[in-house]
Amino acid sequence: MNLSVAVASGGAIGALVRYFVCQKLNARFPWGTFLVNVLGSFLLGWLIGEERREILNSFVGMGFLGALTTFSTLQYEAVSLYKKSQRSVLYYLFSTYALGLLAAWTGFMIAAKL
Amino acid sequence: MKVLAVAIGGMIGALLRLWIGILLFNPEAAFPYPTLIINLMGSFFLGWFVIHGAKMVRNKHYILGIQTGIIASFTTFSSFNAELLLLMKDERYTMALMYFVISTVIGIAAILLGMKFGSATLDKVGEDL
Repeated sequence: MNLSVAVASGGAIGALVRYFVCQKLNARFPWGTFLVNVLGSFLLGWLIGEERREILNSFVGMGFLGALTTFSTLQYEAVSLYKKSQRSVLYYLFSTYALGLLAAWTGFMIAAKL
Repeated sequence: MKVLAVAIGGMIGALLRLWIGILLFNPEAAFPYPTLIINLMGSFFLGWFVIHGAKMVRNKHYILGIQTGIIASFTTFSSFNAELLLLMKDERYTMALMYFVISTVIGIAAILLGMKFGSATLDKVGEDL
């Protein structure tokens, strides 16, 4: 499969899943963004821990998981939360960064053991 | 219609990330510059867009497609963590820490700068009218 086609189709699905999850869960606190970012990091950690990865890497890794997770929205939500509650910014950023990395590591370890 | 806007935006964002990533890729550099630059560029552009861009576009579906579709899919959090993990696995701890600090601190700064730039360009347009 062509690399661009794989990334584009994965990207469309990833963006849609993020949109639906965020629509359901992002209200007073961006739980939806938090969830997709941590879950996506877990799955990508798993994926890079796997041995055979060419097609999976472009469609699932770069396309789906790349678009499912987002860095810019995280930064923007942190700035927006600051106006409401300075403490929630710290909770949001700290939990996303800490659990995101922990999730990636957990996924990687699971793949390595399987 | 909303679904279509997000899906098309997601395609464009992911493709731009792929192509810019290929352009910036340097096999000799251990530091993950491409993702860093993509994430910071996207954050700056998002900051500008929410203040000025969205007012230019006006159409709700286009705004959704650009913001939730293109920009959000262009930047990525999963690769950021995967790269941090791989740097630590290679015992490049200083580089991993630098990557983390630069991404997080300049990430916030990029949004704020983008918003400031958005206010400035918006004022400029206001003067012209």
